[in-house]
Amino acid sequence: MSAAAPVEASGPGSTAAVAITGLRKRFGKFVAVDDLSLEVPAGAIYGLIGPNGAGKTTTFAVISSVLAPSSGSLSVLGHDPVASPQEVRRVLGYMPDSLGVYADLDVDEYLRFFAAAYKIPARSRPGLLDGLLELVALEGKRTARVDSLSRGMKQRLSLARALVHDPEVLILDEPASGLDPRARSELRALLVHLSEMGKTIVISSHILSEIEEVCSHIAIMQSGRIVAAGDTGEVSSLLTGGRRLRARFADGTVEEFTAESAPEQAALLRGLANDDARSLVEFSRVGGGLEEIFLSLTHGGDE
Amino acid sequence: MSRLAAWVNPVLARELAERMRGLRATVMLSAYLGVLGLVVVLVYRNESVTGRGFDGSPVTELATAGEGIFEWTLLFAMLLVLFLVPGFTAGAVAGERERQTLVPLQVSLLRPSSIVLGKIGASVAFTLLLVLATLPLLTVAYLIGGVTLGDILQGTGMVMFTAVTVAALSVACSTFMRRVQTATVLSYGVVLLLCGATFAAYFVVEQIDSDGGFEPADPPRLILAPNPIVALADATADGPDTLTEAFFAPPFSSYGGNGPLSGLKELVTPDQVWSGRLADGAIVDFEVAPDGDIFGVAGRGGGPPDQPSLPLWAQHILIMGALAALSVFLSSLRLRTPAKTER
Repeated sequence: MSAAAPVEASGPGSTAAVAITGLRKRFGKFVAVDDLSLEVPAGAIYGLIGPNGAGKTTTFAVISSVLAPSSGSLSVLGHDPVASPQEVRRVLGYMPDSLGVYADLDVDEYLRFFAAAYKIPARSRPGLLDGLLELVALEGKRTARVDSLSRGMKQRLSLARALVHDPEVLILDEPASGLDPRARSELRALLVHLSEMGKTIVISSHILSEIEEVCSHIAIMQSGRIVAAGDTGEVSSLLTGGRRLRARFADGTVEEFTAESAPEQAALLRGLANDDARSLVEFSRVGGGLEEIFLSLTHGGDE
Repeated sequence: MSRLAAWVNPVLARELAERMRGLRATVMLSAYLGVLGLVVVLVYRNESVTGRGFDGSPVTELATAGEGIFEWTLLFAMLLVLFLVPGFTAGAVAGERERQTLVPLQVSLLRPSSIVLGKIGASVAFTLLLVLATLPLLTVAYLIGGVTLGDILQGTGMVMFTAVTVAALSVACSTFMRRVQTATVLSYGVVLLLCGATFAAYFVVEQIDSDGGFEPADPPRLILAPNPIVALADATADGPDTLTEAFFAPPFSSYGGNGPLSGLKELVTPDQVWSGRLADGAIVDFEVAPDGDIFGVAGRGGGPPDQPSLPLWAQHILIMGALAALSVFLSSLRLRTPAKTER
């Protein structure tokens, strides 16, 4: 399948937490991000997926005011990361792809340090830390040295650090990288919880099942460009020409259907389940998952 | 850390918490004081030579011992600063980069200058603790005699100033180098440049300027101004202020020769020509060495010698202060984000 034109998720009047227009980032002759335009609706969990070298980390570094764009414009809750980086940092929490923790500090000291770095008043810090540690399920590790934590715990601690100033927007670069299935599942639950708290989350990953399960929107990147973007269903439908669904009945027959949207899929399921003539035993999607889309769009692997 | 962090720079508080953890700091401080105590005992035994007084009774020149202890202790503290501070500091920013902890700092609300100053403060703090721990030993010199309280304050102040300036230069090396190893080598290179290269340059210029020995060489002393050891010697080692002082200085006067810093000051201070009026009204020029030794030279003189506008130690403070400020500025600039490339 050839690359599709970008599909913007947010319609007119929608409130974008992060808005990027024509972003381009060059390192010498190498173009890491090329003419990238994206709108992340407020409250969304927005997944940015792509193979290594697609430009995800560079895009995040620009949004987080670490790198200056070569051209293009962007805003985070209305603040320009180049013109007002401090304003952006007040509303944005960034978790880079590397863990980068101070091994000699304990968990409590680590978070207190970042609370001080974000100028949280000293009197507010004890309560804040209690809440954060509870949120990331590290209450029992408060006095543990950071270097004694497992990778999953370190990831959660990094997430707590990104949350220390209660930002409205979270930028999480490969947060599930290197985690075992259980830790990954815990992280997914945590992301959903944060979304329910009203945070806008932009997450990158090349572990597609993670994106598919938790993201309300996705964008697929390849060679510094967005090749598809929108809400998860839209992207899936757009790129597969509708959802291919398979139903297996008690008499052993199998039938395939196509649904253009999630409501249509639900209606189909209701119809089949209520069909007195046949007894439905299995209803599943055939191909067309993000894994398939991802591989088709990115030519199956790294650049 | 929590109470401290509420009041001081967070980077400084965190670094101190990390550095002072465990036995390392305690062992280091104990070892340092042990070695320095040994130096004091050895200098005391060596310097307090017992001679015979006019009446044949034993006389111990304690003032000489006091000055010796003072100068050796101070020199040791200065060498310690020059040796330890680059080692403590070179990893300051490059280490954050290697541990991949720099970006979270850069995207916090800390300003780049806060990060740089916190790093300098942390590097200097432990060294200053060591220098402060030497104060009781310097007080021994004060109690023995031959050293004033002003000398102690001036000397200690000079060592602390050097700790701060070397830390600032080392943080700059650490900010501009990507790897700790490179930053460490560069930092020690800078110290070597300040201490060794200035000396070498001074003596090379002196040789060129000596004119075959017919005229005394007078190389520009500004070459030595960045040298912290020379500046320390200049600030602490005494010389005669007046010709009368030089004339009537006692045999074991404090004008040089009793410690390494005095010796150094003599080495790098050219003789001066002072004029004095004799009892018969004749004016005679005298060549006065920095240690107070006088070489009489007949002839008419022109009064006291031209004094440089600023003593060497003051020139040192100005030059190194400016370099340290420039280092902080450039380091802060380097750490500022958003940047074209990740730093």
